[in-house]
Amino acid sequence: MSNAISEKFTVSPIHLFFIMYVSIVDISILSFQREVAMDAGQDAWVSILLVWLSSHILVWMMFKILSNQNPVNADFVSINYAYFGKFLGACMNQAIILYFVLTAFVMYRIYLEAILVLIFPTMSLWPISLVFIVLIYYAVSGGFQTVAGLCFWAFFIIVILFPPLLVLLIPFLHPQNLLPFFDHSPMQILKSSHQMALNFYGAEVLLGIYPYIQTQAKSQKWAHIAIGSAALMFLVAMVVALLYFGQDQLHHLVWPTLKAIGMLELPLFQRLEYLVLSVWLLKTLASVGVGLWISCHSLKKLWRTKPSNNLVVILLLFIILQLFIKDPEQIITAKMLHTNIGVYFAYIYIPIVFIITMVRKKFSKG
Amino acid sequence: MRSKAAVRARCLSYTGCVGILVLSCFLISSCGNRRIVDHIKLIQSAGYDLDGKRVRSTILIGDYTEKEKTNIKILSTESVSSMDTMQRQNTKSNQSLHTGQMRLVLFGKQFAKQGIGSVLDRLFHDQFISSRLRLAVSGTNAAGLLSSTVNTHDTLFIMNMVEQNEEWGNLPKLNLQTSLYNYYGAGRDLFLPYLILEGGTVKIDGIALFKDDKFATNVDIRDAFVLKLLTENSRNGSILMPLKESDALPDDYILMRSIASKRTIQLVSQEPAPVILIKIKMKVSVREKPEYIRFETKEDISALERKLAAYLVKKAEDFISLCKSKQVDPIGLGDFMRSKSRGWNEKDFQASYPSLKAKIRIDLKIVQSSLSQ
Repeated sequence: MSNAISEKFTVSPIHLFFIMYVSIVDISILSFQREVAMDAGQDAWVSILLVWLSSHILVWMMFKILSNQNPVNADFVSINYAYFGKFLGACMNQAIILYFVLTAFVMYRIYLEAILVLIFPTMSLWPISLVFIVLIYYAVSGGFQTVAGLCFWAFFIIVILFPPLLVLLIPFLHPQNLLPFFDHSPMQILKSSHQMALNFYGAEVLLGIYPYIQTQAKSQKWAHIAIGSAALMFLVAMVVALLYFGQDQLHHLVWPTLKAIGMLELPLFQRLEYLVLSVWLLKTLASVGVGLWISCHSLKKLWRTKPSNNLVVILLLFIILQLFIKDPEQIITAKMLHTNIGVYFAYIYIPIVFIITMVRKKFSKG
Repeated sequence: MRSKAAVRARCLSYTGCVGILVLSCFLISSCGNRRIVDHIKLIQSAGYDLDGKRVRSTILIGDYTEKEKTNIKILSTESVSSMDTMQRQNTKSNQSLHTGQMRLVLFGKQFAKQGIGSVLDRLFHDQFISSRLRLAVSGTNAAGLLSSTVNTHDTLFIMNMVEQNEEWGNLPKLNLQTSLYNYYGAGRDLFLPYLILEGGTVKIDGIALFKDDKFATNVDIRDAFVLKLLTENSRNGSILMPLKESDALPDDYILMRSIASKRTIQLVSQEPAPVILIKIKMKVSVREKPEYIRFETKEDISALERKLAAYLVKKAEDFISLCKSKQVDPIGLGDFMRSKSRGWNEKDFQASYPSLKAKIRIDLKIVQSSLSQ
């Protein structure tokens, strides 16, 4: 086995925080509230807490799995080969890579759809998507450090944009909307937690980027901080939407966060939602970049092809997919497919691999 | 040490990055319909009226061709439905009409009686409409009210009038979002400013109360102040209190101005009929008073405080019983009951609404605001 990966390609542990945070907080932060509040109403925050907790457990499992591997090979490609054999492992690897490609595509397409619906309803998508694809190529071909740097800026944007805007919304909130507490059955809460889990994915990028983190032992706390702060952001967005709109109005809304921000007026900016959505481009670029970088590198390990060629192939696939996925229904179908796979990936695949790791560890010791 | 080639490659990649960004700016700005402000018309105020069975819509557009002067252009059309009014207006305009800067929608009384729900729905779902738009009801017809503002040279005259009265006068704070919140929210009903035409000028006459999306009744500007106290933590607003029960002369009144008020609601008992206690803590200053009212001792002041509070309690109780008799709930008592009970539903509450008892307790403090006694 080769030695540790050269420092030229790795990043310090704090970058794990930015990468994971940016992967989790995606465009669904602008729109998830309606689905989650559909079943649990004002108790939707409980389901967010449940998903928050379960995500911490998943991250803990992932670190247990990864720290039991050879540091250079601590990613899902090698793990699948080692645990499931050559044939089954290859199949699973390809499925997971496809999942990451699909994640990136869904993020990319939903962002474009948001622009189309909210800013330029009459615009043709091709010019902007071609520019976007060139940007993605540029970012991902720059290597892991470039992608990590982008994630830092994306995080920075979220932090300077959202907290001040949410503070400005405080005078318009109705605290009474959260009462009465726990007025929903456990079944309703579970249903809404499922909806929340569909919107709270992205922690699994850890399985792809772990070998590229320096001093891996120190990085676990950053992963947990990323989960914590991302979940806090979702929680705040949920509570603000509930207090601002009330459940009855929320049921009619597709983009609650954007609609709420639309209430605010700053000097020179009458419509802040346009600003937020425009700046969100960089954020989307970062999360698409992470997904594609993982796919390209895993493909390289799998087939020994050049990552840049893989990237070109994947981006061509983006263009082809965009030809077929046109209207909002198809986008929702693609999103549902992706998020459902994501939930199975997180809540079935990771625990199984965790159990196998633990069993193997026990036997190798004994 | 970095080699020269590496540095050069880095510089090149930075220029490349900037180049792509600039290029993308050009490309993105060139797609879609451009809307240059000089080449479009911005609708600023709009009104809906019912004309028999047809809907008449009126819009005000600013005409800025003359320097430092706004001329108001009025367009008016008729249609069988309120849905295609914008398209019909567009057929009368030389430049395309856009609603992004619309700040006021006025409903004629007849239109409001027939129901404004479909218009509210459309305003809610149109992403170009600002949440800060204001809604109002006209006591006569909206077209007359809008056209009476033409010689003010201000396309937003009514909007500004409503806004300043919310800030400094008796109107509760409202905008499209809060109105939609009241409209969609279970256990609360919509209410809007009620404007009339008096001697050729627009005047705020009070509040229009709605049942669902239909105009139910209107109350005067003093009751608007009571509603302001009952629905929000308010500032400003004033009320005139008679000092005598009957045959008061013009001097037998006292004018007080609210400085700040704070409202809290409590549930006293749920069964058999719900009892709600609304506590209002407020500071007022006495603006005008007759000669014979003197503030010499503490007792004088507290006696007047009690009197003022009792008067306001009476006003508020009258207002609530009016709401109960009309089956409207602008204060959101139903929503409050929802927040206090499990398995609440709107229908049961509607049935129990007339038997609901709302107690008002007002804790009023007079703040001396004048330098002379």
